[in-house]
Amino acid sequence: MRIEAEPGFLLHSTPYRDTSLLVDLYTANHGRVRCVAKGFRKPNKQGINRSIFPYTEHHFSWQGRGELKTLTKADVVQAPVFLKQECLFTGLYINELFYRLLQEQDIHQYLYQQYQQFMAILCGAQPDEVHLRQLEMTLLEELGYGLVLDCEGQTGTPLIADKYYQYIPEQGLLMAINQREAAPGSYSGADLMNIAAGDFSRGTAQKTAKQLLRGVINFYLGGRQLHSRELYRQHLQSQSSM
Amino acid sequence: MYGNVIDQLIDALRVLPGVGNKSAQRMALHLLERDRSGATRLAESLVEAVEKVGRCAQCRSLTEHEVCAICRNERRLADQICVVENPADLYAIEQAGSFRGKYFVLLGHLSPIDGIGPEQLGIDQLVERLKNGYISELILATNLTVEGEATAHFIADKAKALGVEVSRIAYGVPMGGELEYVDGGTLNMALQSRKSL
Repeated sequence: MRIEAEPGFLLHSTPYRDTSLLVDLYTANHGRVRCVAKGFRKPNKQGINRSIFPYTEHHFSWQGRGELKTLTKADVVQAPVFLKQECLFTGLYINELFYRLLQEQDIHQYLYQQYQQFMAILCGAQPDEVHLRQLEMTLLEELGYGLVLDCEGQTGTPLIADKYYQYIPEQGLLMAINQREAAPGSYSGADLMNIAAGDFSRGTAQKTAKQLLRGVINFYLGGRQLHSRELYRQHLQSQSSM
Repeated sequence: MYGNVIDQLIDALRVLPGVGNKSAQRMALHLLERDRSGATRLAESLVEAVEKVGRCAQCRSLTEHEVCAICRNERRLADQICVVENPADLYAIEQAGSFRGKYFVLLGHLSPIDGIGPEQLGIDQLVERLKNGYISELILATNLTVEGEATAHFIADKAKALGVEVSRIAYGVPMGGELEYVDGGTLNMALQSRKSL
């Protein structure tokens, strides 16, 4: 099977043998694809550099029938950028998240568009947190793990704004037994209703969304750690000591 | 095919990078047929190197001593440290011949997906070195890949927090390079980091 000029992004690459790479691509119409990029670590015969860059859209061509394809071409659509500071950590986080959660050959065209738009923003400036939360929510939704935030999971009872709820993955929301604000893992009904309506600007909705999504993502990672989170934490530490 | 011992030798030679079955066979036959003394020398030096060579306590480069020759050399500038990803990068800079300072070898780059974080790269050790000694400049010579850049930025933040001056090697058109044959990304970088004359 031969695929020509498929739009996609590089999620991850590792050196393979002397001059080759093993690359994980996220493509528009073929989902996640794993390829061996033979000789891509050195310039080709014409002396042209064939590096593949994350965060930048490429047109990839590959061939092969098995799980591991052979990458034949990778053309950059726009000039690649090196992300800096906050953008860099966001980029590392998103790519690690997609790498861990997306299955090979799962095709999600809407998710791809969202990823593409996010990367376009990221290459210019640090996107605000709302964009990041929306991308996380789209990822979960497209994978079939979408959050149900407008009613209680088991009973279907609509939420009450001044009550607190817990989120149990795969079951949904449940009214918290402890109705005090300080209880960890419980979220205000008002915030949850705002998040469900896509409005992150009111009250503490943004903070709630962050905690809620972190918990849900951790559940689907099944105990695996996201190293980019730890890296960002260390970066913040060295920033605060300046 | 040739008997146990010879097959074992051919198989062992295949650990070398770029050596497949055919080359390994050629090497084995050459050593056994034409150069027995060379083969003994090779075997002895391999054993000796594997036994004695370890990491330099200061720069993490390969050395048979506690501290490597570059770190021990008093004529080299002790207040300039160049950070590289691999010992091969260190040798490349040494061969270029103009750098007079000392080094720090990370033995990799930051790669969260592979679980490689600051601990694996000895960044704490580098920070200790910056705290203890008088270092006037830290030169970041990690690769110009996305991971190399990420590593450079991470270290730069740590060093700046300690008040150490940090610089990054320049990006751009290679010596003797014709613009026509340089890729777009490199040209953009070269234009962005242009110098006034």
